[in-house]
Amino acid sequence: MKCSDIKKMLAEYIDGTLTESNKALVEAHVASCKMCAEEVAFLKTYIKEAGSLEKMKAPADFLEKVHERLERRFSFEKLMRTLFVPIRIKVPLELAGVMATLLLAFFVGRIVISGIGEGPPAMLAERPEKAAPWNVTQAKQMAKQAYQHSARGTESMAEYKAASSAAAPGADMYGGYVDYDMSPEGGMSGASSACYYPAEPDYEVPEESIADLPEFIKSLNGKVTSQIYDENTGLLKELIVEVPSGKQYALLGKLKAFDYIISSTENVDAEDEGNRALKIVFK
Amino acid sequence: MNSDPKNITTSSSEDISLVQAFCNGEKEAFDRLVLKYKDKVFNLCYRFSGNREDADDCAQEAFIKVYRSLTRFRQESSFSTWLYTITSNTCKNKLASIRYKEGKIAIRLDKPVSTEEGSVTREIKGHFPDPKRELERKEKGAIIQEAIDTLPQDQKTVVVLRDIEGLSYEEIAEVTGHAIGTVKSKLSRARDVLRMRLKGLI
Repeated sequence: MKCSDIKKMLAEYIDGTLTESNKALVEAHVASCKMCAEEVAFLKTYIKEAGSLEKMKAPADFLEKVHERLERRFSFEKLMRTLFVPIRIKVPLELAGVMATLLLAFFVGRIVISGIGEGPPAMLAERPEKAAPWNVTQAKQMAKQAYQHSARGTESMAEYKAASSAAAPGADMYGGYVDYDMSPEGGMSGASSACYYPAEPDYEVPEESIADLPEFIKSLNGKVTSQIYDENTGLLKELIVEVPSGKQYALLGKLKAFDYIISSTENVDAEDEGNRALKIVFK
Repeated sequence: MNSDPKNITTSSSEDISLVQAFCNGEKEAFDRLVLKYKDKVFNLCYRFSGNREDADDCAQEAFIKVYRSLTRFRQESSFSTWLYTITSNTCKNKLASIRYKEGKIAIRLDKPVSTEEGSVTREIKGHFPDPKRELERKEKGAIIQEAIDTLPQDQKTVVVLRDIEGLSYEEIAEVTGHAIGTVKSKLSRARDVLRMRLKGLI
């Protein structure tokens, strides 16, 4: 047999648990193999020595130390249990705490997000629902808000343009929606693009002033070419007017307290001697 | 381990009675178990760790674990085997900790041993019935312990349980969770290493 095969059996040979036939094989091999014989000799010596090693004894106060360790360990655990209550109460409490934290985070998040989002676009988009041209108090409040946003003057024009272009076509915004550029100072520039013309905050809106518009236009040497009244309310809904060139600013000044849409299909760039045709739709 | 079958049966019956008494609320039963097995457990821990301080710590911790889980002992094995399992695992975990690794010192087997009479070299001495024999036995024990300390944890476990504590292969398999064949294989490899390390020293 090979040494490697004998080696596998040496442990059991030393233990005395080999079968008689295997034991005979090992002894026959060991008798003729010096290396395996040395291996067997070592194992016998080693196992004898290892089995005779001094049995180390525990310290005399071992039991007391175990009790002390138990006491320390359980005191800590008892403290934890006392602090954090039984599981059947702790878990629901923790769940409640988590829910409360989530709710708080949700509401705070909503407030923060709505605060960030607040601004001309959102406010302007809401105005149509809130705006009621016949409600003086509302009109003044909304005018004041719009004016605050417009307080920066031309700086706000870009916002208003963006807001108006974001709005649905034809959507009205407080103070007016023109599809040709107008500066807050009243100047005109070019071509069709939306413009927000904010109302002045403390401008009093007499309820009957819309009805006075035709007279006012006439006073500008303009004329009303068409008037359309609401069938249900009987209030003036639409005006098509012609005003002399240059007089449109005065008309716009008169209109600034109303909710309206004004449009013109003419090119109003150039100053000419003709009239300006304007369509005013009241909301 | 006591190899007399009758004594084993008696011992096992006593252990079961103590476990049942503990489960019934008699805390003193645990004390009796500690007193019965403390030396065995301590010795096992010493052979695993190589020093008394760590052995004391591991042994106490092993009994703490016994105390905490004694009511869950299902008697699928003997109490002593179960206790050895807990002790072996406790030592393995503690000794594998970083602290232990940092404190471990490599020892040369040919390093002289300091005794009350001064340093002596490690040599094989004959067996003589005189006071020196005790000293020689202790030195030889120290040499073997140092050699065992150099073994990997899994080999050290089977060597300690088999060659020092005298557990059967079946008991070692139960304690370690290995198959019997694996136990024999690890033991064979460990003894090969020890043979190289102890050559000429024992």
